[in-house]
Amino acid sequence: MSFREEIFNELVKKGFFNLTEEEKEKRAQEALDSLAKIKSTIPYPEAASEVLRGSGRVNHGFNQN
Amino acid sequence: MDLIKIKPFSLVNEIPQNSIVAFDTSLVWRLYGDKDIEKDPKLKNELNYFVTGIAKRNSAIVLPIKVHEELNILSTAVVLGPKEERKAKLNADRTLMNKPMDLVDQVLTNLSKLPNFVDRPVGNIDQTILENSRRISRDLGLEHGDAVIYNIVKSIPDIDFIATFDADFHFLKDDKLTLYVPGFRYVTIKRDRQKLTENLYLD
Repeated sequence: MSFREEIFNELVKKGFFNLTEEEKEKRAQEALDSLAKIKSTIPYPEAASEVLRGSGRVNHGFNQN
Repeated sequence: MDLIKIKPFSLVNEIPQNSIVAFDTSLVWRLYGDKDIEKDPKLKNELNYFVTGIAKRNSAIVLPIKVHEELNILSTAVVLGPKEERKAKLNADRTLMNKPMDLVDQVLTNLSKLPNFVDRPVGNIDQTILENSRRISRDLGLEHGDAVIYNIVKSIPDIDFIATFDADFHFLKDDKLTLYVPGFRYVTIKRDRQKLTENLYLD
């Protein structure tokens, strides 16, 4: 079995392909909203730059030119 | 070999059906931790449009194992504070490590609610991955974490895309993978590449 088949078999088990397009979008948006709620609980978000910079992900400025 | 292809998040509809998209750590951080993104509704909407769009394309989201590892490190930093501060806290109370681990659990649980998210980490970090990563770091100046993520993705030919928030991978030469980035990043990468081409022409 290829990696792609393994991955999509997992999504089949998860019920992904039983969802309509609207349900897929709705559930994805609900997950994104849940993730976004975590932000308010993080006390030191600025410390992320220390880690991301160490990994090479240095360009955080949204308006960076 | 050409430079890796780049597309903005807004073109998520060009992802072929049944593709596999690997997220890097910078993108996952924007989903759960980056408070600054809340001040930029346009960017937040772009990110949400991209992630929901992958689901609508019947495509899968995976996290390379290195991203899982970095999430643990990242969560320790953002829960326990800057390095010296957290070392002092942990020396006083080792049970404080439960808090960042709880955060990782919370992040992974919520990522798992994405209907097309694959829960298990993908790939392995072995000697070949490390050797290839060090070589790429030397040859291209790519930092180690990025080089490991890239090599894990390359070790799994069925992964079609890397989605990232930052510009780290854009100077890689790669005929197969495509990089998805935010629109503002797409513009700066295009400009940087144009400059590079002009400089080569002048040389």
